[in-house]
Amino acid sequence: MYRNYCKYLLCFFFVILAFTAKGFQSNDSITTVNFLKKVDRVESLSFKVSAPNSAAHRGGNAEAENQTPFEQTFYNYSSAELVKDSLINKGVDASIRFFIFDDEKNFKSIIEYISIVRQNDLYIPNSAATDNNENIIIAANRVAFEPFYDLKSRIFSDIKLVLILSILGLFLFTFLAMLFFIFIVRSKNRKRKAIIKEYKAICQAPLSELLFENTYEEISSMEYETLKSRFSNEHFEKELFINTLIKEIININKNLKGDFKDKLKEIYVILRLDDLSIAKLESKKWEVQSSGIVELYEMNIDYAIGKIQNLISSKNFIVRTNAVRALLHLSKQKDLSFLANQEYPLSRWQQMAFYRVLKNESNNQSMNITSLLESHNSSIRVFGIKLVRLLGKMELIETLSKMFSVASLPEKCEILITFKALTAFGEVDLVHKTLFDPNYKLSALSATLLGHIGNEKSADLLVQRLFEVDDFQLEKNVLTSLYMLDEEKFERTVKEMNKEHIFQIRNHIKDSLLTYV
Amino acid sequence: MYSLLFDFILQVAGIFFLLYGFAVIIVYLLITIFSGIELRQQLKKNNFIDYNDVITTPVGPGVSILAPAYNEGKTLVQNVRSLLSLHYSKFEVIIINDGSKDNSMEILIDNFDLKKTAYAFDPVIDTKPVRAIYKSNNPSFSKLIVVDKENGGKADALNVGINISSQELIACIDVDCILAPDSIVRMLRPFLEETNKKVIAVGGGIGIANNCDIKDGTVVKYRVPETLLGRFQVIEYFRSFLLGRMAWSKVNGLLLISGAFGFFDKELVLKVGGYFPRSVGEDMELVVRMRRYMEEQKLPYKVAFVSDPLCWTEVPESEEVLSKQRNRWMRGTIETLQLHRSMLFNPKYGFTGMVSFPFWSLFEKNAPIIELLGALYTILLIAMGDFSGLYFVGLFILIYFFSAMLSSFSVLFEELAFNKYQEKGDLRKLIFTILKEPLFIHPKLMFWCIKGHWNFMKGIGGWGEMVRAGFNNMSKKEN
Repeated sequence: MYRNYCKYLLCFFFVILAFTAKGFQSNDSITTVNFLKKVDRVESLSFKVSAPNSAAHRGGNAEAENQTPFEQTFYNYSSAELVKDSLINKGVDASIRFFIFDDEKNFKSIIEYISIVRQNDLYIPNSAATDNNENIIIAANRVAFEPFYDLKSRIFSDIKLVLILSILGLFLFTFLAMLFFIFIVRSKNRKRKAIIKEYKAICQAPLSELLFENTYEEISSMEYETLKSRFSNEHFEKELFINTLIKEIININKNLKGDFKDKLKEIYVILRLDDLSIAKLESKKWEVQSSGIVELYEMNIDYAIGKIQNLISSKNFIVRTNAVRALLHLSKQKDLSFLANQEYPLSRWQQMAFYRVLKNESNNQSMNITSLLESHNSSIRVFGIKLVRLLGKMELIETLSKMFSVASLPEKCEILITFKALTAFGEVDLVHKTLFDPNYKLSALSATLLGHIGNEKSADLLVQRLFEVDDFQLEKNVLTSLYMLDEEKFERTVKEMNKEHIFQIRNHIKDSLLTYV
Repeated sequence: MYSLLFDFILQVAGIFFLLYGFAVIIVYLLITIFSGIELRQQLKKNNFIDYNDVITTPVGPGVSILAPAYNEGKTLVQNVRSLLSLHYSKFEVIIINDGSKDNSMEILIDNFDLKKTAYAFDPVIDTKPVRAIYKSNNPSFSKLIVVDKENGGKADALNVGINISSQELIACIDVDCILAPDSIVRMLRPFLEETNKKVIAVGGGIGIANNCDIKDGTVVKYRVPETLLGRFQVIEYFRSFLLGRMAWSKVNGLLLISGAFGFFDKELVLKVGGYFPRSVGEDMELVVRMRRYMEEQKLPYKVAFVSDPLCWTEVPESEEVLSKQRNRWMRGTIETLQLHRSMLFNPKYGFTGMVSFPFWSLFEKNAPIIELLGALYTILLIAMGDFSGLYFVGLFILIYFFSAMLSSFSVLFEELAFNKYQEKGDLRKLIFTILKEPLFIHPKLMFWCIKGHWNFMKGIGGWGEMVRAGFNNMSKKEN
């Protein structure tokens, strides 16, 4: 009741407004309908599309729904008219009814109402965008689809993706480069091998000819150009050929002796290959320096000693080792005193290399091994002791004996091994003392040594030591030496000890198959 | 609230996977650089070393070669003969028959004229009982000692060998391996060269003997294997030995020396108690324990690696056997890292604790797990629609070519350094393997390794059996 009252009041208000403010505007049905089509909605005005039945509209079972009336409310006239037209098209008798505040009105009332509304702008107009949207959509439908962002711009506008693709590109490039290198290296290696094979063939024939058909004097009298032409003038300028020739000469030199070595050296010198080797010593690359030293060493180029000497204290291990080795080999006086002052510790590898040079030296009197034994460098002293043993320098046993008390553990061990190797009977008293050294390694070495240089007293001391120790290896060494010195005492002691592992050691010692184990 | 937390976890996981991925790339690039430097140095050095000097030297250390054998009757005699003919003056060969169920012992006794001895030794390391120790009546085999013991596994057999050995160094090898004649002298180099540090162990390069021609216990013709799995392992061995171990050797951080071929300082091995018999990764475990001991004692030391391929072994070419091997390797790695976990990021253990150990934990042990989690994360992102196909494809191709690049580096290194595979078509086959590996083999490897993790957690152990075709087949092929 109250709501109806308000509606009438509002309606009256509108009418008053229409007449007082804007004055009367003439209106007809066409203008009203056009206006209604243009606006979105008009305040308090609604439209109902009604039809007696809706079967055609719903598309369902016509018989089942034949009696259902259709009615739908719209606030937009165009929409209402669209639905009405579609119903009529489907053969349904549809019409639009007009409502102001839910009260049904005839079209005349609507015309009047619209005129008031228009005068007072009481309607929501259709926006320009809405009007244009349809046109845009229609226009857009006529144009083929193209994405706004293409892949290129998507990638390059994203820095992270660019980064990933850059790294990917780098890896791909490196991978392909690696493959390329592998094939290049393979083909280069094959070619190089083939060329070296060819060069070897070129070198071998004149070398054998010179060695077997020419005397040393004939070779010595040859000029550089003459000799060079016997190999190959054409190839002689090539570095690879020269290196192959050097290697070939060195290889042959290693396998030949006497006169042939002299001939090869002469060929090497006449072909000025010695100059190349000496020049290598000046290089800043250690591998080139080493290669020069090795070549001079192998070819016995003694006049290069001065230059090689500069390299004996090189920071590089390989250069240093080869330089000392070459110096020892090339110098007439095998004086080792220069080694005594070396600061670097001497590795076992170097000891091995130097010993190999010295072992065939018949004149080892002038070697001055004593200087090594007096060196401030412990590793040099150890090497000196080893040389006494390996070169059989019996005269230095006493020196070793004197230095024993002040020597380091590795030196003491080497001295005891040396005493054993040289069967130093004179040192038995010293060894007796060492047998009781708290260091088991020294004690075990002394025990073994007594088997070789010991006497009756030694056997007693060994038995005494056996009862003191609890170390399998030391017990084994003691028993082995005891067996060597006095078999009867050995058997008696084993029985006296009555221990399972001692019996095992006994059986081991007496097993002929295990003599050297 | 939950959605926010979930988003946060997703974000953090994404960042973790990204950082992990780039860490892998950086670490392996560094490894490639270091290995290149080390390999170059070693090859240069080799030019100036006459290994013949070492063969007869009285200055060199003695070596005890320990070769455990279990049901190896098929190839045992040939392999022992090959070991006895190695070029060095001061060595002994100790074959440990680990309770074989086949007729290995009879074969050895017959072929080498063996007699039981009263060999007495100190059982410093506890082992399964030794039945007998044999020596030969024939002086040609004077260097041979054969031990017959109850079955206790490879580590236990090696421990018996260590107890019996009498030389300064021990060389632990697989009896079915073929050693190069100069393998001992080459492996001795680091022990002989070093002056400032104690060299506690040296590992050697290993090659794959499948499809190669073997004559008189030596590989005379090198060919890549016929199967993809075999070829993949050739590439894998190149990567492992020419890249990984060379680089770790350069920075003195090597944690693993292959059980197939490694030299150790006997005194130190005894001090640390020998091999750990309950571990299936006994080779790595021993090296880690030795390093740990040296670090705790604050003694300068070095674990070196010789890149030259000195040992040739047959690798499994069937998925079944390979899966068991990889499963075991993973369990061994986990066991070792678990046993010594106190070393992880512990400055007390120096470079080993701060770099090597974390590397193994993060990039070797946990890599399969992280890879699996990464795959699950990707699936989750796809399901949530929060997934960029472009990034996925980009990163996938990036990793693919990274893997291909590393493998190609290793092949290049091999080509430059040793150039063993000279047969026509070998290189092409290897390159195709490089391209196929990340797609067809790597996922399987990851699966086997994850299974290794699972088995470790469930306590499922064992070695699995290596079915060997035997090198004899290859000799026949040659004929």
